[in-house]
Amino acid sequence: MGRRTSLRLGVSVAAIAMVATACSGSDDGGSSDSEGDSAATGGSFTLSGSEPEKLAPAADCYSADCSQILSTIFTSLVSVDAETQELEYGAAESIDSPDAKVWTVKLRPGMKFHNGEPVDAESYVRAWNYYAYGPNTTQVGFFLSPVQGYDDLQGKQPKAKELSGVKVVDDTTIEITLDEAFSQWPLIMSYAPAFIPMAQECFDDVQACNEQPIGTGPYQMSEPWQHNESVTMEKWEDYEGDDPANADSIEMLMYADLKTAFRDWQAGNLDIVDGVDPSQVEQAQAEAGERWLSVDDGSYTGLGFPTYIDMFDDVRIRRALSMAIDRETIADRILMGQSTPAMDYIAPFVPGSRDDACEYCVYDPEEAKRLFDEAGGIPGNTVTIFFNNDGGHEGWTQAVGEGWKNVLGLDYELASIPFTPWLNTLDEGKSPGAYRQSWIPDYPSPENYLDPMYGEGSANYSRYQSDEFLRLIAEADAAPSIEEGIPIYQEAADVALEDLQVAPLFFGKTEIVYSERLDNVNYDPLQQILLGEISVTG
Amino acid sequence: MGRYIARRLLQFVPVLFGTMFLLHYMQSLSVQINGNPVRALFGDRQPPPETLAAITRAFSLDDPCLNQTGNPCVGLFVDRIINYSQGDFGIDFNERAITALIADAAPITIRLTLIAVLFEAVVGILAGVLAGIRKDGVTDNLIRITTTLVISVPVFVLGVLVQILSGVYIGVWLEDNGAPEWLSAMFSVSYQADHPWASLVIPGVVLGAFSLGFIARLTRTSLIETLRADYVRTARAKGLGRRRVVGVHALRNSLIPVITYIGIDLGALMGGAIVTEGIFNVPGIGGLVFGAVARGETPIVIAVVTLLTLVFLLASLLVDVLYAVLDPRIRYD
Amino acid sequence: MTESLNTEVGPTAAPAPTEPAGDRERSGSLWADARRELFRSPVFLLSTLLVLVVMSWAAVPSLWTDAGSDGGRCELIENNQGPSSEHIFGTTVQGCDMYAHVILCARPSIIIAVFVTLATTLIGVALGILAGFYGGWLDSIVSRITDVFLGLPFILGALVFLSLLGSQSIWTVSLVLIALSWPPITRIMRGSVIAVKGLDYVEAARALGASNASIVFRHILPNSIAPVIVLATLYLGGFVSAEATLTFLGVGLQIPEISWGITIAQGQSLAVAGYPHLLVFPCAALILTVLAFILMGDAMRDALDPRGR
Repeated sequence: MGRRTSLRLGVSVAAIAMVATACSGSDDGGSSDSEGDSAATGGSFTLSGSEPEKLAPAADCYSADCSQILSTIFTSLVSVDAETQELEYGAAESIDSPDAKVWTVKLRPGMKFHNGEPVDAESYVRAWNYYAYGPNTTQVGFFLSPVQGYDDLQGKQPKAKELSGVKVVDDTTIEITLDEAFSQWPLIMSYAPAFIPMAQECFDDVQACNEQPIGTGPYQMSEPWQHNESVTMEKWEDYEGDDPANADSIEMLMYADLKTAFRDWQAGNLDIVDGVDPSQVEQAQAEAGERWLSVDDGSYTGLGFPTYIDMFDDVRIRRALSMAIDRETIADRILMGQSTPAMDYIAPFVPGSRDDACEYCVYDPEEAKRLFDEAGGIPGNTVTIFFNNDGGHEGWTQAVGEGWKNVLGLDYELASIPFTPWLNTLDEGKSPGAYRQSWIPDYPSPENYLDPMYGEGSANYSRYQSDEFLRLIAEADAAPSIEEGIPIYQEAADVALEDLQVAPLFFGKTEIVYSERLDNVNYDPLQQILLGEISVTG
Repeated sequence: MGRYIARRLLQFVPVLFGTMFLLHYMQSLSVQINGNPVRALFGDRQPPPETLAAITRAFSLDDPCLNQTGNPCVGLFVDRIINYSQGDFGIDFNERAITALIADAAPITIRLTLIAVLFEAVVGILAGVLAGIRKDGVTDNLIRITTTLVISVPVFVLGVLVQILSGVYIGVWLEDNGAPEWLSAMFSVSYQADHPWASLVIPGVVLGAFSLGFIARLTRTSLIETLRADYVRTARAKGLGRRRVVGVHALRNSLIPVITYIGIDLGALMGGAIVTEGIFNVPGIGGLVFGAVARGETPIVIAVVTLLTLVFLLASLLVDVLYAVLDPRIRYD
Repeated sequence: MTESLNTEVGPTAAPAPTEPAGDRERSGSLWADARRELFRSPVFLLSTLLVLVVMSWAAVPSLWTDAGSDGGRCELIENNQGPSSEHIFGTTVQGCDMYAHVILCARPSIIIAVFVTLATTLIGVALGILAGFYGGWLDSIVSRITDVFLGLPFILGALVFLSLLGSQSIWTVSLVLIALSWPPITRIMRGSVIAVKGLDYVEAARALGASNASIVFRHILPNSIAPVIVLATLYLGGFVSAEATLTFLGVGLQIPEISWGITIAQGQSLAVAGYPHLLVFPCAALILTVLAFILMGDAMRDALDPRGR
């Protein structure tokens, strides 16, 4: 019954695949045999997925599996090398700015849509204007909100239909002007659903395009989407880009419950399970042997202590509660090893992540009890944990409560309600106690783990306010380059970790198993399987 | 009989309106109590207010009555009925037409239900008869125990156990031993679009298992009663064979409560397959409506449940007509 | 429910018109006969013993386990362990003792099952008689309302009702189960009453000038209730597993409430992936309970049916 409602990292599989190519030493990229001798072409395979929301407009496609499809049938502008954490260009040749405010995107020339239309500057600008235009009600169009003129496209009767900050310079050059300098902008542009282009044919009939999108990547959808059943992607022979495409055809089968997908894999009916249920991880390890991958997926879970609840006013109480949580044991025994204890706000694979940033995330019962008593305990001696009851969070929340009971002699209550009212309650600032804070990043920047949750962003449910933190974030945003921003973001994280309005708990993992027929199954740490690289051997 | 049926059909109208209004009220209350369902589409991240407002407006969830807890939102209900009368059944949050969603899901669920009803009726009545003619015998006790197991083991446990046994073990064994494709499709883990009937057999059996117990026990009890009735004694006294007495006289009269139950069960099977469909990954009505309730997609909930009510009403009309056929003493006029 | 039925029928019970001639020499009340019959039935004695055992889990758990009401101290590090000498049923997902947990879960589960069954049967029988016996506009109204609720498939209806409320208690879950399960009983009772109403002995009683009340309680009720009793005892088991299913679907009881349903729903996916004890013991308790009630129902029905002897 797990739900993955949030955005998963949308970095292009295709682009990452190219990076892997580069890493393995083959400098010219290009052909499908660049991975070495093992890569065989041809054949077909299946993988598990869940029903996408919409395939067009892309800005309505926000779930992980939906992004996986888009990333396979599109070549996205830019992505990030998982190893070196450097930008790797796909459909773009460069994204540069002298001042982090005016950005110039140079497109690779000669790329085409599956229907033969050219992939030019116009096709991008057309798409971005569509995504950002308020009455089109796209889900992730607001990723374009840093762009100048975005506000004029909102409301019932928007003042404009086009972003004033986006200009077509020539066929392969786009100039983007932001409202304010933002050093991490190229990383945002790696989020495929908000930035992939739109063919004119698609623009003219979005409905038809939703059933059978017109992409730019090495695979195309040769038949319409079979709703709730499958999406089939076949190799596009006219592809001119660098992304590999080994198998001839890839079929994503839609599953309502991934436990069923795993059993289908056991029975030999499915080649790849993308996301093994925690309860089946031990079985998967035992049965899959080598054909098993475990990947940091960047998701983050914390426990928030809202400022509007008096009992959490004292920072010593917040620290004591955090130090009384045995993250290791809970991750191991309840989450079945599918999470790792979090010692930072920033997930492990993101540039700037540290494994010892959070001083008060270490399990230390004595110190916790000492701090707790020193602060005089809390009135009523009871803490409530507030979470949604449809996401499988009962186990670890109860374990956190049991830990408090054992270490601090504190009573706990669990308050769980469905997802919608839970979110609405957090929005209104009415959480009855400590709450589950979760995040799935949109782009691999420390900024994405900090500003939304502890700054003026969109997920600051603890109502944390720190001028120092905001000042540091602003400073990092205005840094001249992505790299120079990172140490300043770390300083900001330190400020927030010291105040501990949200205690980091876990970073998530995703488990993938595959069949004997497949070879060269790889993933990037952004939780996407590199479908084009996979070769079918049996 | 014709006038009776016409009168019954006329009675459908208030029931259907009642159902629609009840659901409309429940769903409005849900928005009033739980808040705007559009918010949940965005997950952890709060959307910009103008995005949220635009999408909320697009799904007609911006009516002020949805902020007043307890308000039945009659205006919205009237709008909905007007839209229905013009053939507009609304869209889901992904802007797909409800009619298309139902057209995709309904045939699958209808096949599943047919298999389940066939299974529970044939096996259930047979088992009930065997138990009834030898009360407290071996068969009777065996059925009693099986029924108990099937009823007390929740369907999500039973379903998964059957799935593992049939899909993972038997299925793989069949495949290894070169069984024909339709046979291994029958023992597959999940629904396969290429085998629209075979791959629904096991899910249908799981779905029908719960009612199977009820039907077997109802048949048994009813048969025991009837076998003691005077006319059965008379028939026996006349020297009719046991087989004929049970088959023609007793069984026909014992089937009234059984048929009633199957009629009621039909609607429940179609909409109540939520768990079974979920386990076997069947993209039917159950999954559609479960997701719709969880996400707060009112148009789906109302359209689908009203449709299920209609199915149920037709089934119960059929049952009442069958009463008269089975028991000549019952007359409708 | 059976209690009230018996007192109505018992004291004045003249032999029912359909009673075979051979039974006429019997004297005494129907209830006395039933009692004599029951105490001679080994099935009834056995099932009563079982019901008493199950009830004692619920009423006085301290007879069975010395763990307090909070299930004793749970050690997370020892969770999901199979049966051992220290924990004869193993440990739960949270590392509590499974044996103590199963005993402590009996109370909420049995309260829900018994309460819902009693309420449902009372409502169903009353409405079924009203609709079936009196017919006319009363039948129309009852039947239409029944139709609205019957049209809502059980689990689906429960989803719609329960998703209104954020979190559940055993009373909200019970109320929703009652709201959705009286209609089938009503429908069955109505069908049964219509069938009995047309029988000769009812016509005869009416011709002899018997009042409606006496016809209903002396003839219609005893002769039409058998299928309802069978259904009700089956339902009792169904309610416990329905409660589990609702938890499984995320709208039923949730921890920190305890019940067999929650234990089963929580342990289900791990149990089928290599930790069977998480499912075996709570399910065994559930099956035992259901079996006890079904057997008792059977025996009672047999004893109460005057034609059965």
